[in-house]
Amino acid sequence: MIDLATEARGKRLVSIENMAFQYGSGRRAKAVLNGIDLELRENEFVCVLGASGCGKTSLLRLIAGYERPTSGSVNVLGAARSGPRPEVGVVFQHANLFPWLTIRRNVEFGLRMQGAGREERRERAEDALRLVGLIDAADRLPYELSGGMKQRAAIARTIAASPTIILMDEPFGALDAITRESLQQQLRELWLSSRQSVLFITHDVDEALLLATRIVVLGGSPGAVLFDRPNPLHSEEGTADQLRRRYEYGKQREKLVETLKR
Amino acid sequence: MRVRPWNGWLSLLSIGFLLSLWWVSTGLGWVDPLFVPSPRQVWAAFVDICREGYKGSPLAVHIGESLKRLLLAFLMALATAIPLGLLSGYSPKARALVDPLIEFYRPLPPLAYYTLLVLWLGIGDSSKIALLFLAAFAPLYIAVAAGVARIPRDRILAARSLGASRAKVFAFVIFPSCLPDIFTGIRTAMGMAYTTLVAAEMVAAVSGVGWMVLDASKFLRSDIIFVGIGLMGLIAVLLDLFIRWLARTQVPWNGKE
Repeated sequence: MIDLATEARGKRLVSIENMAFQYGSGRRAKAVLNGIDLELRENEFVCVLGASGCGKTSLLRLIAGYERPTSGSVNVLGAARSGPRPEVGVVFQHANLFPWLTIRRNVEFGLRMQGAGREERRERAEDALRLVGLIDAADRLPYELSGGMKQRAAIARTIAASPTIILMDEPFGALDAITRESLQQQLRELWLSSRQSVLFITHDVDEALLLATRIVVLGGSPGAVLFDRPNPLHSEEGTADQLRRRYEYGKQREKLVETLKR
Repeated sequence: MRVRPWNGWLSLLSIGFLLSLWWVSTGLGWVDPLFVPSPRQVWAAFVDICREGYKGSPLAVHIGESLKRLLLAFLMALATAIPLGLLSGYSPKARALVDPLIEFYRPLPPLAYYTLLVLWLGIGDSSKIALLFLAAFAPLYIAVAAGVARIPRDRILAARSLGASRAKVFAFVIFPSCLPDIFTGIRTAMGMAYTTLVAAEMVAAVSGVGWMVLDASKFLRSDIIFVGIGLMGLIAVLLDLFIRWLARTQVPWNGKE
């Protein structure tokens, strides 16, 4: 039988098959992930949801090429076992900007490393800064910015390098609730207009329901995929606030929380 | 913004106390002027040295000679210790090669190997510059290597994910990340080199502020010794202020990440 749903989906960008990952070796080895099967397709916004310690950050680092699987395969853009590369952008939990560079130069960094000319760099960096609403802070140094602004700058830095996939590791986890909600809304708008392929790690059920096209729940020790389905609440319209007020929201939320507790 | 009360007046108080103690004790004859000259005598000696110079060379030449040795040695230390420190912070193999040598000579009193340097290079400037270079090298190297080890791993990974090659990571991430540590190293190294400089000029020299003090002691000219020590202290404070100003303007982000 041909799976019509799969056929209609975009090109496969990441595919992980029967992958296990452990830290250390021998008697001190600690199994982090086991039997992971996962895909990311073009134009998908996949939220990987899990409690802390379930290995979700390790999963992201494996896809980013920072770690290597102990067994099984992690195939990213048709290549297994490649290190970090500009096609796979990463936004960290802490903005991780270069403290000696102005926001503008931070955002230009990727283009500069890839040898783009001065004009192109400037133009594309300014586009990215406008997209995240930071053009007025372009010539300030990172330490002069609030946590939310830093995280927006980090997102702009990743976008400006125009990666095929963006991996985000709880980028709003360290922010206060108000800033977090506003950034979730901004990211939602950004995604609706760009359809950038994103893999987003979070422990926040609401965040997953608001942003994801597909939700993957990771749990257990070592971590395994407990749940992998399209987000029932995914909608092209409305703001995050409107979404939160929808009738099914509470029910779906509860369902996810149940899965997480298993 | 935190308001910090200005405590400078306390510093002025302690300096003032010391100066008046000096002035009173010499004025009332509590101490032998042969060993502790009065402020007036010291001032007169200072004016005299400024006008006439000391033993054939003007004061500016003595200071200039000292600073020239310091600067040459320091530039050499910067040019070698920073790249070597970066390299050994980055590569454990390089560290294993270089570390034992530095750990061996670093705790030695500089004057112990100075005798060897004088034997090899003579009592001229080259032995002094070599000595100062060695004195400045170790603290600078250690600060830079420690700085590299402290760089957050995610910062390097972020650069790699933005398309930076390993060589570019070195130049565009590792080096600037270490700038605060480099400046700390420069301050420590300057302190080490400076104290060594004065000691070196006291052992074998015919010019320099350190030599001036030693030479004056042979003739019991304690007024000139006072002038020399005062000058050395003043130069050291000015050098340190300059380095701190440089650090403040060059690495404004330091400590605010």
